[in-house]
Amino acid sequence: MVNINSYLKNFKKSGDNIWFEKIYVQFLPRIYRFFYLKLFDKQLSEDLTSEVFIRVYKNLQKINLNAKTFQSWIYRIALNLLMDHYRRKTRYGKEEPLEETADDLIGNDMLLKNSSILKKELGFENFKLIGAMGKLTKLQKDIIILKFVEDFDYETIANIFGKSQSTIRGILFRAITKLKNEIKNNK
Amino acid sequence: MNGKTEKIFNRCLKLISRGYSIQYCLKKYSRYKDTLEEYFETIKHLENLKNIKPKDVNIKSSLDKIYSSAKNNTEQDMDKIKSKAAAPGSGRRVSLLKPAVVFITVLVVTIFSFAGTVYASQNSLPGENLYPVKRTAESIQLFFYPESKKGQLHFKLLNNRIYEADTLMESGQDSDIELIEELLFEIDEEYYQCKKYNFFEAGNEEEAITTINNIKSKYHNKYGQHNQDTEEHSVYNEDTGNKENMSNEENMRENERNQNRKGNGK
Repeated sequence: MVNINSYLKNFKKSGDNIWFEKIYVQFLPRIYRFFYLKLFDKQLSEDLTSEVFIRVYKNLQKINLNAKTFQSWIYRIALNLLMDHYRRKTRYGKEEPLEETADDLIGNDMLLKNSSILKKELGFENFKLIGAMGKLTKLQKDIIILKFVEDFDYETIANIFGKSQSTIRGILFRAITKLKNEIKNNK
Repeated sequence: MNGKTEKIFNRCLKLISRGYSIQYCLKKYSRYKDTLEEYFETIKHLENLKNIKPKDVNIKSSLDKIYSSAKNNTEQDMDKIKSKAAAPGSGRRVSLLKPAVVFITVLVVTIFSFAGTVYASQNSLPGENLYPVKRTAESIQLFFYPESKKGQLHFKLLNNRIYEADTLMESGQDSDIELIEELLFEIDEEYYQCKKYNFFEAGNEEEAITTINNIKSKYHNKYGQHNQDTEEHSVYNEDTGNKENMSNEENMRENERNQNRKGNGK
């Protein structure tokens, strides 16, 4: 993460694509993983990941970012794209529960339909864990992934979701407690 | 119980992010060892998900696609902007004067009432209604303080926490134990921050350690080994030297005197 600052600075200064490539290589697996853990669909995750980088490339030179703010920004783009995707997928016109319902439906549907393929792709332990994560709300799932899979600090997560750090701490604790109990019950 | 576990869990995450091991944490909070172990086991499971990666992609061709799509999108955006600009009625102006006056009035009233509340909260203690205001004001002050002087402010906050813990212990109500424990943890935290900002290079670390150890001993004498959280931190020097017999207040006063001397010297 140390080098991201210099990549961003050099790209803004020179506009040379070589610096964008370096950022791309670092963030590609992380953004892909973020989508995959929500959708369990390789092709779709790859497409959405590309879309994220198209948006990043289009706007990166226009704004001043450091490594930390860049992280928040790129994940906010990813979250917005995910929302757009859910909206396209869901037929219902309701506003509030739309994303939650869509997330549960899409993620859990994929889990059930492709369980044998996913068990192979993810490994049995990870598959069981993801099954348990299905019991969490969308926000809890997002926060837990960003904190423990992507190693984000509370400040960055709070920036991504536009919430205070103490709120994020509270949500994270409830999520990890629920997940821990779910894993314990499934043993 | 859940609230307490949450606090301990968050403290552990903080310690781990600073480079302490899980084992250190389990030892420090040995009363919560079993619960914490379950949490860390779950976190370990989650960390396995880091192995999920996209299939081997041809970076060059993916990047070419991104560059050309971004170019096409930008051209489309420019067309949209042009057609919007050409649309009639797009330059409608809204009067901003009225909302601006209302906004400024509300802002002035808010600032004055906030300043009054903050002033009134300065002598409040944990558990009192105005205490959260005091803490919020401290956080704001910390946020806007210049980096080079943050150590000085953390030292002031350290003294505030020590004073609060001391006053609560003097009041002697058993219901305050939780609040005092919390303060003792925060004293550790502020001490760590002072060290982080190299405040103790001026040489007043020994006095600070003595004061902290005194307040902790006072806590232990009064309430006994009530909780693991209040164990003396390993970074503290147990040897309090010739200042061992100083009272907390004397130590605090001396710390502040050192502080003033330092300030005058500049």
